[in-house]
Amino acid sequence: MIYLIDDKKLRQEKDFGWPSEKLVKYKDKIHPIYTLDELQNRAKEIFQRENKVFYHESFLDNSIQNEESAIKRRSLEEFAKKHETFQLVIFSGSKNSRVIKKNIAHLPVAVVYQNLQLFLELYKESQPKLEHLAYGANPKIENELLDKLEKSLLEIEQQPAVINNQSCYFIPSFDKFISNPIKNATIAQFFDEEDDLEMSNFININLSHTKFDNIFIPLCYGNSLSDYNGLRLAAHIRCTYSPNQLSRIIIYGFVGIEYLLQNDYFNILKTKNVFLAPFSKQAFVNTTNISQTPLTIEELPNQIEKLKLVVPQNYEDNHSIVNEWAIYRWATTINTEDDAIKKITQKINSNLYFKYLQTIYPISKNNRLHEDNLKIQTNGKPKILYIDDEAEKGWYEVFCKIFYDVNQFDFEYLGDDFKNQTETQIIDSCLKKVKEYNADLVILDFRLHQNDFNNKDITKITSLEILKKIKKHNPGIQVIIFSATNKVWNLQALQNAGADDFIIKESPDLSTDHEYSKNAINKMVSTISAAFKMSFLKKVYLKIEGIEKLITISNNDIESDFHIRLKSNLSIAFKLLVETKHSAKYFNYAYLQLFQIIEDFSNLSYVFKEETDVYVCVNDKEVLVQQTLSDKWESAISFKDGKYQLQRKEVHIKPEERSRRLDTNFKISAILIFRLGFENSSFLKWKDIYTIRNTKAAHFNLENNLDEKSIYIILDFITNFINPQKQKETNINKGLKVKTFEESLELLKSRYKK
Amino acid sequence: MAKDKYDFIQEVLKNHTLSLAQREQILLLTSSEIKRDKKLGNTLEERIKKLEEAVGLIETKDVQEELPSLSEFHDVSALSPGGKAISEKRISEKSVNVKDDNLPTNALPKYIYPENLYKYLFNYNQNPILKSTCHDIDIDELENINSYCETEIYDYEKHLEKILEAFTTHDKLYFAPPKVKSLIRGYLTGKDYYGNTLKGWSTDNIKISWSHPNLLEWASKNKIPPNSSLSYLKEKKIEGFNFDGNISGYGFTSKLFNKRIQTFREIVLHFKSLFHLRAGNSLKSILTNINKSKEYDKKIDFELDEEIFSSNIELFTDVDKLVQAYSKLIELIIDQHNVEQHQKDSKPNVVLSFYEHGKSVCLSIHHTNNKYNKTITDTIKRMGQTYTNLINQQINGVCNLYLRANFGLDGVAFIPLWSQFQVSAHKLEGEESSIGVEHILEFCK
Repeated sequence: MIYLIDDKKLRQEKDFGWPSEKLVKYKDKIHPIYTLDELQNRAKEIFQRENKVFYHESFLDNSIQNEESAIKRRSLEEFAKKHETFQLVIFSGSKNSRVIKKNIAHLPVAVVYQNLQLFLELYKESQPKLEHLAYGANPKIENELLDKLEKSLLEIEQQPAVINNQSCYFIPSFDKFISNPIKNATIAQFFDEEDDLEMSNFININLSHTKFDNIFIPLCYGNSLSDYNGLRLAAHIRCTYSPNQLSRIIIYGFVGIEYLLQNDYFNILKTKNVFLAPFSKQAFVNTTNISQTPLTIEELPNQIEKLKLVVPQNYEDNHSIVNEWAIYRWATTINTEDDAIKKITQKINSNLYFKYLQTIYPISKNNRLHEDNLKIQTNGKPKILYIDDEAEKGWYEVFCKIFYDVNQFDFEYLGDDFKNQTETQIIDSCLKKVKEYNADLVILDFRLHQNDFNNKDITKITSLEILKKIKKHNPGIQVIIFSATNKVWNLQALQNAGADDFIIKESPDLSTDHEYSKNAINKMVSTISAAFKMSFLKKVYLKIEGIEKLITISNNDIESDFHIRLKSNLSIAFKLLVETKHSAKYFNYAYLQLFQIIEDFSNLSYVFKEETDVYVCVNDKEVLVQQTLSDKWESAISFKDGKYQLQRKEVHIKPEERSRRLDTNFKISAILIFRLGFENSSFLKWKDIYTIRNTKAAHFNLENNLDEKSIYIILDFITNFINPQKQKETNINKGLKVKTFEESLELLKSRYKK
Repeated sequence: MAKDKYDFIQEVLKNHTLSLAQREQILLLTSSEIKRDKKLGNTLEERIKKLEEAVGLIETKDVQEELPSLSEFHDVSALSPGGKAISEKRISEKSVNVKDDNLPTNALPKYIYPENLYKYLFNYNQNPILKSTCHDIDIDELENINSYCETEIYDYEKHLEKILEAFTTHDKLYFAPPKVKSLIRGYLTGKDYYGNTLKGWSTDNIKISWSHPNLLEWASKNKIPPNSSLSYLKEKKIEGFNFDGNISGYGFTSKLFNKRIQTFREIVLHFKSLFHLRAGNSLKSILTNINKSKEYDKKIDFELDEEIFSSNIELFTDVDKLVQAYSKLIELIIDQHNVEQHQKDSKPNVVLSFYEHGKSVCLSIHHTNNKYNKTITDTIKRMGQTYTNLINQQINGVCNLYLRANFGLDGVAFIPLWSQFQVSAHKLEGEESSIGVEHILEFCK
């Protein structure tokens, strides 16, 4: 455990950025002590061999023990000397050098707090060395650089460099600077700007008004000299639009190029008109005398591409980079903005990696999309649900612009509170929302939980589970996966689980195509449009589900077999309908498949008995619909005005016509009239269904193909047609009179004669 | 001490709410007040005379009148790093006291106790107001300053007024060699004791002081202390007071530390380094630096091991004078070594050690491959211009000076050249003849 014994709490918080909340994050590693009482109370616990004590040199100065402060420090050091595993750091605001002797260090207070986080991070994994607290991540090199800096400041010329006929802007480091550097140069007010935002602000404030021929930048400055921040600042200047974007940059340093090879921004030195100059005023003059043609704006993207920057390690993750980059690109392309997008735009304009991308992949005005390009063709008003834990980062606004502002669709999103939920809770809340909102289309972000970023097993990704559950609930709901992933195996797994399509976020490597954003948004519009076209499947599935619900457990083999065939036919029909996204002919196939169900049902012996005579079964009764007599056949219904009606009919027949095959229309009509109790066969749109079956469905024609409406009709028909509850005995007495014994005998005789 | 003071102290001590620590503190202050009253005498004339003596304006009577007897010296002769061994070996009671009552003491100053310097500097450093002139000002310290200045926002003029008031009080309360006082006065006011503007203070002839008008202008404009910490300056986006933009030509390279000083903040840290030795500002690094910058390391083989030269000893002293004294003694070694014809082909071998001895801290400069080129009697009788200058200009009031050497035919002896003890030789029998010449500077806490 580290005991940080420092009475100056305010300094700790305000000057060095270590408020209590930050210290609490490392509570298992560090314990702050602010008062003498606390120190005395915990003395036994603190002075243990394995502990580390970071002690403010003047801790006792304002206490009742102030006279003994030096003696106490001495005792501390004696204790540390006796116990080598005990680490002691004595720090003070009046120390300006760093001394480490075995397990005892004497350090300036600023250095301790500056490197404390690194020390604590290292402490999580191992026993960090005091050198890390004194010099940061690269103790050896940092120490060497500090020495070199001191030495270089002693050796540099006192007289200023004289650079004629060229304007110079000189940036000194804040602490150890070159005094009187260049005659008549503009000297920057520089506060060792180290992070991207600070650097960008510095350039925007200081270099956006006057153009200078030469800009001098210190190679090493800030908290860690071995970061060689000057290289990064130079890259920032090149990637920031300003009058000085193309000026000559001279990075002055006290180490050679061999020290810089591993630096992430080393390649800036390979670009045109960027020079590394030695720590000497004469060298400043010499560098400005190097003759080279000016850098032009046309050359800039190619020059900056040489930087070959990779996603910065300190960024949250690659996913965040892609996410933010894509939001920025798309929002710019469709010209929309909200506070979240503004925030990202600011980040894009300050973060060097993004600035680098912007410089090499600029968005030209020609590649912006007008609202007309965002119109999506659809019938009705589909409901879109967008599920994303990071919707508020800007995507919500992008989608809102497209779906609501331009197209007036019903659009909602879910994901605000995912951060505090488990994977299971996220899955449940998503499914609940899908059901409650009755979504037609779901845009589902690929990674919704923190674990999804670490999980390499696709089967455990939250969105995959949600997808499966949505599809189980209703496979007709269109689910489009929204993702930064471009890994084929991920996409494959999602597709297998039922994903209907993908919207891939624009990663920086895709931006090499200058028209990518525009094309990607166009593609997304057509993807959504296609998904809407397929959203009829949701309704289809609900109808199918309704039909399946009619299936009850039966002891009747014929009925059970029918149920099996029914399920199979429905399933095949649905699958065929899914295929309509590729070709409309699948509507026809699905239709025929569904028609088979009608035919199948009409052939069931407990529905329609076709022997010498024909009966329609109603509940436990049978109605004679047609019978054959010796010289005629007799029917209870007759076809008139395009439909079968209750009207008795006799037809004289020749002996060879006695075995007459009944057509489907007659059978279905008989069932409709006698089993379902309708007046005629035109009910339930049977007439249309039968007509379609025999005309359009059987003969596919691109210009006259079927659509979802025909499917809805036939499904509705089936729903009623096979429903046992729909049986009505209204017409059971309107069947034929069953033959008398004598009539039957006569019929037999006539056959026998033959 | 005036009667009313005693009455007041008595009344305070009767107060039952006083803690033990507070009571002790009052008694301590009272005792120093009584001592001071006694030292200064009772009449105004006596007081003025004493004060004049204290600031070195008039010569005092023979220093040796106040010297302690030889028996008190026993422990001091054990000051050498191998002191304990020497102490055991030497037969001090049998040694020959070669003290000569006719020593030419008129070239030497009145002896000033070095303990005073330690107290003066230690208490300067601990003083709640004056300590703000010894380190960076962070946000906590700024709150303190505003509190005692009774201001909401930092007011440089008020702060400086408080500093100068505190210095005046401190200067009256504690005693220190005039040169140290002058140095601090120069640092704070840029003026000497008589109010004349100084061209510079310390060896580096530093031109800037806390009272410089440009500093006033800067601090009044920025409303923060001129020695604000780097992090505070960065947070406030204020450029520190530097010797480039704010005032030109004031930057310099510190001879002692071989560092470029370019800002007022660095001056403050430099000032602190001039009187507080500790890890981070160790004597070892300073002497190593001096050996290099003055090229002593080319002329002498130094031994400066951590075991005998501790780099984390804390000491409040006049570092500038200490280094000057060191340089003079090293140059003496080089000169004496060159005098010896037979030594010309070899380099002097000097062992440097820095260690604590009781309440003292000692710097030993031990020239191991030589012998002293004067007899014991000559050494005592005629201290010579080098030692006299050394004592006058560097040693007196800063530290004591002892010599332990091989005097050739006279054998090995220990001589307290400048201390509270009589200048006398104490033969150390049983010592190796190869002991060489060792100068010991003793700093008292």
